[in-house]
Amino acid sequence: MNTNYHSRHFSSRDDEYSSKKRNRDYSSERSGGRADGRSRTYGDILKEQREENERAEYLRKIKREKNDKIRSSDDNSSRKYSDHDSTTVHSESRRWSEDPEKKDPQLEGAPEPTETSNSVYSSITPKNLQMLRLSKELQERNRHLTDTELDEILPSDGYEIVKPPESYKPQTTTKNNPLLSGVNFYNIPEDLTKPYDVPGDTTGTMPQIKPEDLAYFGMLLKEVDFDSLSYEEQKERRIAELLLKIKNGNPIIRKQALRQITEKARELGPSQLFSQILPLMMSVTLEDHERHLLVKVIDRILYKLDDLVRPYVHKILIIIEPMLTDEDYYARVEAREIISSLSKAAGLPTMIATMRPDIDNVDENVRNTTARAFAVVASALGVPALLPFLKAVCASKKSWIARHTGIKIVQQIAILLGCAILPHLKNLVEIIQVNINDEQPKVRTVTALAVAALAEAAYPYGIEAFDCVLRPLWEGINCHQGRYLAAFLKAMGFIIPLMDAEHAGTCTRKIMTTVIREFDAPEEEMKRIVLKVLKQCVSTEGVTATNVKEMIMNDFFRCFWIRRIALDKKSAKQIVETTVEIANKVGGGEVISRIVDHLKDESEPYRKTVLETIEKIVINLGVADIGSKIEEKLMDGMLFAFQEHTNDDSSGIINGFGTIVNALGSRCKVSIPYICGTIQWRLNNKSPRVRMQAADLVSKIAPVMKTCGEDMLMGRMGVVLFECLGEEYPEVLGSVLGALKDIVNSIGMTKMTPPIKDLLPRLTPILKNRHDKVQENVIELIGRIADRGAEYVSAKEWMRICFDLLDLLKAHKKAVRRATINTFGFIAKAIGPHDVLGTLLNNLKVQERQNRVCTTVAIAIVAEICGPFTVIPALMNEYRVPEINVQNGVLKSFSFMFEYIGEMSKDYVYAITPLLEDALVDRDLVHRQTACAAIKHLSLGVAGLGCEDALTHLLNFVWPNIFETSPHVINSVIDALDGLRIALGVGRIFTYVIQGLFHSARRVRDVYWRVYNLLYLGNQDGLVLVYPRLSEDKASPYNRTELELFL
Amino acid sequence: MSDRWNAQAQLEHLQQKYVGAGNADTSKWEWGCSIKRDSYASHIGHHPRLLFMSLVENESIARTKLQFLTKMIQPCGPPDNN
Repeated sequence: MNTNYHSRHFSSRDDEYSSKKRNRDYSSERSGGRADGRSRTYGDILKEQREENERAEYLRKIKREKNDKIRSSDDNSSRKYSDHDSTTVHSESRRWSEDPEKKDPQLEGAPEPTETSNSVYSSITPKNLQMLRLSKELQERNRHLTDTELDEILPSDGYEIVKPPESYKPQTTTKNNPLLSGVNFYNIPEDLTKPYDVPGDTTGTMPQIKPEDLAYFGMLLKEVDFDSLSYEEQKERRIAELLLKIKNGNPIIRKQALRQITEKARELGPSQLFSQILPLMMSVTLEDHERHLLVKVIDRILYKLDDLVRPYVHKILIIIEPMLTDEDYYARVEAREIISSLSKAAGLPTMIATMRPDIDNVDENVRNTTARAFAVVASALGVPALLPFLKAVCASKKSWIARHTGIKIVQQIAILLGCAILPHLKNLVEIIQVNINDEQPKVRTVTALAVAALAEAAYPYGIEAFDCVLRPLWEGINCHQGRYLAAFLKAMGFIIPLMDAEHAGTCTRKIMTTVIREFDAPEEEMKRIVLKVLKQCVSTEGVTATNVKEMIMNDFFRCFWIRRIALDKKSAKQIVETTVEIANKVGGGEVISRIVDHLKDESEPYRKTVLETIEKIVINLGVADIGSKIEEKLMDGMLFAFQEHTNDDSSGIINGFGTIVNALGSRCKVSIPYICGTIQWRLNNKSPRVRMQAADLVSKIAPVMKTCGEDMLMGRMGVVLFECLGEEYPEVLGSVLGALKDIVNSIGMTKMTPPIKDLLPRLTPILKNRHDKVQENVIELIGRIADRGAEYVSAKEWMRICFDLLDLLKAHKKAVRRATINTFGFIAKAIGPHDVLGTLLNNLKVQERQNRVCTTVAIAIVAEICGPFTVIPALMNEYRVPEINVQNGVLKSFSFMFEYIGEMSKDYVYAITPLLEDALVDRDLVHRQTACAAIKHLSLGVAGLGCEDALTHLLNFVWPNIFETSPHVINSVIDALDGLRIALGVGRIFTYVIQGLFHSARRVRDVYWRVYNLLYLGNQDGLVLVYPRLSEDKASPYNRTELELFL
Repeated sequence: MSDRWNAQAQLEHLQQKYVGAGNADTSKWEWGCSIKRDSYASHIGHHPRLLFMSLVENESIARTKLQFLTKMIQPCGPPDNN
């Protein structure tokens, strides 16, 4: 929507419409439900609101007379959120921008802002400020050397100071600075660019104050004696400090401050807290992440403050509500979260009382956000609680604006809750049903939209609830035009899929005349709705193929399959969906025959849309009903589209090509030579992109070539690709390798040309390539060869590859590491595990951790593939090396191995037990940690296989480690206990736990209860039979006599 | 990485959400109550066990079940004030 979408400042993303949020007055009181002396009463607020409305109405009238001509020539650019309310928005925005009484709200909000900072900062945007700061720093670094500085650098004798020539004119930096052009109104003063240090900060934990925050944190700059301040002032200062730490501090400082402010929230008091947080939230210079942090603060303190927030609900809402319509997804989610916790803290009556006056606010923006906020409240506190209120609002006699907002709330509830509205569907529909005949056209429209939203959310249930609105909707469809009609059509379009087949058929026939009439409508919105309705109608059971063919097809293809529709992504998506739906009804051949000619259109996006549609149809319906004539046209068109493709992103075209060709299978035997010719020619093109596309296409069509029996041709492609291995562009090389891989896969190892024994040596040097794509593809190709055709290459060559593969174990991409490890397995299988294992075990001695970790995984894989007995002796022998890294590596290998081999471990339990024993009594923490991980996998693998004796023995060694405090170790110990619980049964572990549950030392109890909870959560039922008999008290009967029953 | 460090704390937090889970301050009475409640729930849940118990008691299954359910209220008597 907006060009600077990715700006870090959310305020700079605002357009005229959403920036109006800053104009709301949040300093006036509006305490919901609590009429204490100083706040205005509910009646007052309503009265003010009414006056405001009247005033606006009056002003609008004047404006309308004045600006009649201007408005008629205006486009409706700011209609985005306004829901066809454009007139209101426009007249207001003009009025507001000219209203001299309206002060800049951020000036009102800031506590005692200093004169300079505000006049400066209100006039520049955050982006400019950033640029100014940057350029200032640049100038500072590149400043001229002064004479004194030069004197210091250069020796005094032997040098002479020369006068500058007459013609020399020093460059004035500010004018030529590219960063500053466009900001000619302002020269940034020296002291505004530097952040301020907070005085008296001996600990060094206070972050610096950014100049633009001066208005909010200025008080911290004054050095004062903290004890001389009054209690209130102390609190104020404390809050400012904490907020500054949260806003500008580093993560550790921020976390501490956040915790402090949360813990002390009740002590600091809501009034002080919010009087500082809220202005900060309204600041224009706030960056996205800073806002996120402040939102977090509010969220946390809301929980703590609970009902104390009531008087501030309105203020908070004013700030949070606009975020509900923010472009940023996370901003919207955060806003919802806050409003939801706010409504839980403050309660429904307060929320309603606070927001009630806003639902007939003059400003459309306020009403829109209020409606969304109400929907959030409904989802937090339950829809039923809000129903009476909604009923009253939607039936409001006083103003249609209130009704409009009420219905909008229903719409938003439907959108927010989705299928969760089903229990309340009937009530919601009943509430809005009368409004469908409202005297105000806007209310009618929004009602239809709300019905559409409800039906969409309810799909596929709940048709009974909509019975009462069907008739009025029909009437509306018959008598309305333009965007009113669009809304009604949309509603009907969403209701039809809910109906049973017979009804749906009748309704579709009825609605279709109108829909077809609107095919020609010029508005984009109408077009989209028509497409949507068409899709919904066509997909219902009651509509027959003949119906669609006779009534819709001709007009549909004439009106919608035009070049222009592909230019807009949204419309293009809709047209694809609708056409696919039509094809599902009438058959693929019919539809494809109508659009296949467009594959040769000159517009690229259009060709892409056509191909995408055909691809989807082919996926759904196959190619059985495509005639030979169409097939020919299709192949021709696809090749054309492929060859003419110039865009960088070619995945769509190539995928489509691949899918269709694969679906056609042996039917495209005729075209294969032609396609291969094109590819071969394009593989030698000078543009790397073309070469890459050609190689990508080879991987797609390789399986089809096999189906068509074109082995010769495939062999030739193999040779061509082999010759391309000298490719210098890594992207292209990656694709070439991928293509080779697919050819090898299809043609098989024996028939491959060039033969494997020539191919593989050529691949080995490529293993050294550092590019992700190349690495991934080459390793997969080698792995494939090792898997299927290892015998074509000498064992020596494979060993060489093994050494090269070690380097790849530390690749960045997980897929590469994974592929490497698998390849180790294949090679080990091919040439026997001993040589490979030797290489891998040696690699355990290296320093780099990630390398070692990957090596252990590779060892485990070798064990899995070649059988554990080939690996375990060597590993156990390696454990004798007195080196921590090696021993840990061995233990880790065991851990991974037991994970992979599962039940097979049962044959090795007794063999491995002494080694694990040794590791578990080692001084080194990591030994014990890794041994525990191994025991976890071991016990899970052998559970129920009769190895309880060994496992119990191991449990005795694991158990003392429960007192470890290092997080990794304790996690792994707990995991081991959990695994042993599965293998030994909960009773056995419980006998250990019961010893310490009521130990006299709290630290012991703490740990034992933690383990107890673990057992309790894991197998509560099993514990019932092993609980002890507790000794009887006088008052409390602890015995469980039921268990003593005996017959 | 910080997730890893927090895992233990999170696990504990999760455990504490369940009524029967305990901590270092759990008293004998509290533990006894949860043991008894769990036992009754378990008896009710395992039909063969319930069948056996009602057979021994010479009661109908439904009544045994009801008895168990009723006993779940303060299974170990009122809490002691110490």
